[in-house]
This record gives sequence, C-alpha cells and structure tokens, in this order.
Amino acid sequence: MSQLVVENVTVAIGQESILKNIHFTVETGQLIALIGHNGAGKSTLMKTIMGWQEKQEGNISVQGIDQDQEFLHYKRQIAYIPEEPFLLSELTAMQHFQLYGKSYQLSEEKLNQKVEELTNLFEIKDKLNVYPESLSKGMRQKVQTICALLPEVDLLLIDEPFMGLDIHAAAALQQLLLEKTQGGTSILLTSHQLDRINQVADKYILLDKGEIREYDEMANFDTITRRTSQ
Amino acid sequence: MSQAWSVFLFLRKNRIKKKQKLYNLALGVAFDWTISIYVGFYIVVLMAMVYDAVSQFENWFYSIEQLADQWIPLMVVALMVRTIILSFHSPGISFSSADWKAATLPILRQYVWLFTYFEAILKTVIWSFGLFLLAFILTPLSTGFLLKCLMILILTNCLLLLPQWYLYQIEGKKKVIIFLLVTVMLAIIRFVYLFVLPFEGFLYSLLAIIFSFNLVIWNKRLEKINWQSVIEVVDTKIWSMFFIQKMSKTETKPVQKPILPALFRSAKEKLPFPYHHETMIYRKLWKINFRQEKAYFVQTLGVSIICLVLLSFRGDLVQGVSVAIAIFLFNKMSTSYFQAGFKDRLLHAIPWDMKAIKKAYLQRMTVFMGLIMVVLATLLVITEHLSIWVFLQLLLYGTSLYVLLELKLHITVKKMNDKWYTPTILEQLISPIIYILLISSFAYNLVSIFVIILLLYFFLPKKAI
Repeated sequence: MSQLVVENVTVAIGQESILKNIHFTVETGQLIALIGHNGAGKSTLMKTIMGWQEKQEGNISVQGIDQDQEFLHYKRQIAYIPEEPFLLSELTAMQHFQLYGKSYQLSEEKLNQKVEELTNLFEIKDKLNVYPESLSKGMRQKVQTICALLPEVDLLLIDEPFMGLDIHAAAALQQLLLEKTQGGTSILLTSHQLDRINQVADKYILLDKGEIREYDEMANFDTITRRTSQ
Repeated sequence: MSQAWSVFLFLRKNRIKKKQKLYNLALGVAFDWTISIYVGFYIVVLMAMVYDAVSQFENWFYSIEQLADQWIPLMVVALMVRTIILSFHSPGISFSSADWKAATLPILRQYVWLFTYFEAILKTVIWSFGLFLLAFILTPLSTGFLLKCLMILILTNCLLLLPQWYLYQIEGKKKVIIFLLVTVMLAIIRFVYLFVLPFEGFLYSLLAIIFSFNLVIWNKRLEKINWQSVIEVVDTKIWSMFFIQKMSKTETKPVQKPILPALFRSAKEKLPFPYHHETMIYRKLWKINFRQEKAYFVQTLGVSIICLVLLSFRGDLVQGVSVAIAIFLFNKMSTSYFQAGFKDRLLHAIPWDMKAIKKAYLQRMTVFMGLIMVVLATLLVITEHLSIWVFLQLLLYGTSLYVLLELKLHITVKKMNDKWYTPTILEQLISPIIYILLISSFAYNLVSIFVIILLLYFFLPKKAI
C-alpha cells in the first residue's frame, strides 16, 4: 500500500483554479521534493493534504485512511513543518513540545527522551522554559521543527525545511530527514534550495500553474525554466 | 528635506485616493440617490431635534460655563491620564509602513517622522474645530467659552502627542510604574493648588509640565523605537475603516498586545504541564482562545440573559419560550465557537484528541452555564416562588443546557471527522423534544419530570472517535 495517495485533486478559490487534477503517490520511506515557480501551487497542495484547504474534487489518503471519511485518524499519520513558525505566544517551548506529544499520544518517557535528543542537536536546550517572543526567528523555527519531529508518523510535510536555520541546524535536519525515511516515514517537502534537495530527495514533482508537469527520479532533474519564458 | 516632503505628499495623496475609492465602492453598495436624500434629510431633522432638546437645558449649560474655570484644568488632567493609557496601545503619531519604506529611500527618516508629527497636529486641530463647530451649532454655550475650551483642547492634545509616542516605546513594568507615578504627581499638584496655592495657577502648571516634558524628550524622539510594533499598530488603524468593513463583511483585527498578562506572567506559568493530566493543556488553549474572542462571547451571553430577563414577566408560555431561546442562542454560540477554535493554525496542524479537547471545552463553559443558571434560578424564584417544581424545573434547564451542548459538540465532532456524516434519528429528535419540554415546562410543571429521561440519555455511553 502506498503511504500517500493523491487522486485527481482539484482546488479552486472562487473562479480561479489553483490545482488541477493532481494525481500522484508517495511510497513508504520516499522523500519527494515539490518544486515549482512562485505561485505554482506547492503550498496549496501542502495545505490540501493537511486538510486546511478545501478541495473541489478528488481523494487523499495516507496508509489507506481517507481524509474525508476519517479525518481525525488521518491527522495522526501526518506531521507538518511550516515555512513560518506559528507558535503560541502563551506557551513556552517545552509546553509546545508537550502539546505535540499529547496530541500524537507519545508517552511521557518517550517525549522527554526525544526532547532531550532534539534540543541538544539543535542547541536550544537552555530555551525550554522561554516564550516564543523572547526567541530569535531562527530559534522559533527550530522549536517548530522539533515539534514536528517528535512523533513517528507515516508522512512528514515540510514547507521550506532549511529556511531560517543556521548551517549546523540545517545539516542536522538534513541528516534527521534521511534517518526518518530509513525508519519508514515518507516526506514531501517544498524548497527553492535545489542543491540541498538534490542531496536528499529520491524523486521530484514539478508543479506548474497548478498542474504536475513532471514526476521523476531526482537524478533526472535538470532545472526549472523561467516562468515568463513559457 | 524638500524631497522628503514630496515623497510624503505623494504617499498621503495616494492613500486618500485609495480610501476614497473604497468608500465610493462601499457607498455604492449601501446607498442609492433616493436613500442618500432621505438620509441627508433625516440628519438635518435629527440635528434640529437635538438643538431643540439641548436648548431646554440652557440654564444647565449656563451653570457649566460659570464653573468652567474649575473643571477645565481637570479636563487637562483627564487628557494626560488618557495619553498614558493610550500609550499602552497606540503610538499616537501615524508612522505607517509606507512611511517606513519611504525612509529607506535616500531620505532621512527624521524628516518623514517630522511630517507625520505635523500631520498628527493638523488632525488634532481639525477634529477639535469640528467639535467646536458642533458645540457652537447645537448648544447654547457662549462663543467665548467655546473658544477658550478649543484653545486649551488643541494646545493640550498637541503637546501630548510626543509624550504618547515616547511612552509607547517603553515596554513592560516600567510603563505601569510611570503611570502610577504620574497619577500620584497629578494628585499632589491638585492638592497643592486646592489648599495651598491659588487655584488659577493649576492649569498653567499642568501645561508647563507637559511643555517641559516635550522639551526633554524632543531629542530622544527617534531613539530606541520599536518600529515594527509602531508600523503594525498604525497600519491596522489606518486601514480599519468601519463602514468598509461592514459593507464588505471583512475585518482588520487590531494587533493584540496582551500587556498586563505578559507583565505579570508568573514563573509557575512557564513550568511544563503535568503531562499525565488529561485536559490541562487543552484547557489552557481554550483559555487563550476565550481571551481573544471575549467580546463576541460577552455579546452573545449578554443577549441570552437579556432575552431571559425581558420575557420572564409576560406569562408562562412566553417565559418558557424565553428559556428555550436563551438556551438555543447559548448552544449555537458555543458550538460555532468550538468549531472556530480549530481554525488556529497551530491547533489545526496537530492531531485532535477530541475526547480531551471536548472535555476541556465543557469544563471551561461550565462558568458560563453557571451564570445562565443563576439568572434562571433568580427569575424562577421571583416568578414562581420556591417549590419542589421549581427545583425540578431548574434541574431540567441545567440538564438540558448541558445535554444540548454536549449533543451539538458530539455531532460537530462527527462531522469534522466524516465530511458526509448525517446525524442519527435519535440525535435529530433529541433537540426539538428538549425545546418543547422547555417551552411547556412553565405552563405544565409535570413536564419537568422528563428530566429523568434526559439524565438517562446523558449517561448513555457514546462511542468516542
């Protein structure tokens, strides 16, 4: 069974079609890069898979769990790292980790172990009891990233994973993503940093004006042409 | 400087044009020529009516004029206190994102700021004149008196612009301390001029203090400025046009600056939650949510209570209907509020432990349900007097309130899970049956016995998702 199945998904906002007949699958342990110009529909596709964006047609399922019919169960299979962190100013970093831990039904022992491991790796162990407004943007991004890396999920969605991270954190994250895929987690990420993606992705999906133009092995990826030259 | 002035004028002209365009669009939606003429006519008639009504109180206005010398200084004190309070939320000088971007051109920021400062002074003068004209047309107050008030109002408000800007940049407990110190200082000065020195000097002392403060902070006006915060607040203020928002059904939400909670966050709040506790994290999330939406909440709760109170003394059937309406409104509000809570990006991104989230929500709602029950109990005792039936009725209402909300949440959760979920026959019938019981409970006390069935339903095991 494929980890993620996106079947004939169409998304429109008003009269404007944003995604047209998107159809692809992601197998277990694959890391797929979603590539395209600004406005191609990458973030919209992510949001649709997340369930944030209403779709006009099509089906999405993770491990056979349908998004429309078992949404609550579906959500437990996915974790998401956004491009911009959306932490709550009223919760400290540790309280955010606890919220994620509880939501993904991690035991307290497991949660503490993962928090210890990841905060050491991302060098924010001394910021556990600090509110987001006292953290730099990069640190907030680290907190957000750690939140999504705590659970073992079937599918990890990441919007610009390396944005805002320092060189060490970016390298650590890259390694972690590879470990996740080896553990059976499938990853769908968007990024404009093609050099980094080349090192980690198995396949790529090239989106253009809401449609899939290419879905191929990363080794076969050439480049994207200028938006206005088409 | 002339370049800065040209850019500043260019920005302001285009802003006015854009706002005019938006107002034209909105007015086109709201009014046609016929309605506009009628509205214009009614405004004129209304002003004439107000003038006529106000003229009846000529003697009262005359006595105000006589006492003017005493309360005009107090008006200045009030404006000073107002300025400090406003500085918690607004910088006072409208330095927007457009001005910030202009200042990144080869133009000195200080010039752009200076123009926005003069713009603020001009606006103060204009609206003060507007007030003066309104008072001149509608009230029997003398021109001399009004002119005196106008001068002091303009002078005070203009002198308080810079202090508001300066105080806005001060964060945290410092600002609260300043507020308290200024209040104490004003009280002392008032005392001095009431019992020690001639009272006439009070006004001049206040103005001298404000003027001196302006001189002290003038050179620091662009130091340690929280530009990001200033721009956010000013942009929201500039583009929050009430009429446009109503016509377009959109809203520019003001930037929330929870100053006092942030100031007084205890060390205890920073500690991790007790992880084993089922609902504590979710109760905190709902608390955050309530704080953000409290206006909406208070409004709907208020309407429910008003409905109960107003209709309670018009006969049994109407009283029963009022209970049903109040509970229905509360139910509706609570359910949409519950759904809206999931729109928060963080909450939407994580899996939902619906059992715990729902439980936490109901725990938070018990306060409001308790409030409604207190009002209901009071009204029942007044209208029906104490008896066993009143007790049973209250039990019926309390159980109904909880059961209806719990049912609605149950159905909502089911629909959130399954897009095509249809409530069962039982789920569809329970609500109308309960409302019929509520309406008839005043006319037929025996109906209250059906609370037993409700309690049975309440304790029925429901399959958790």
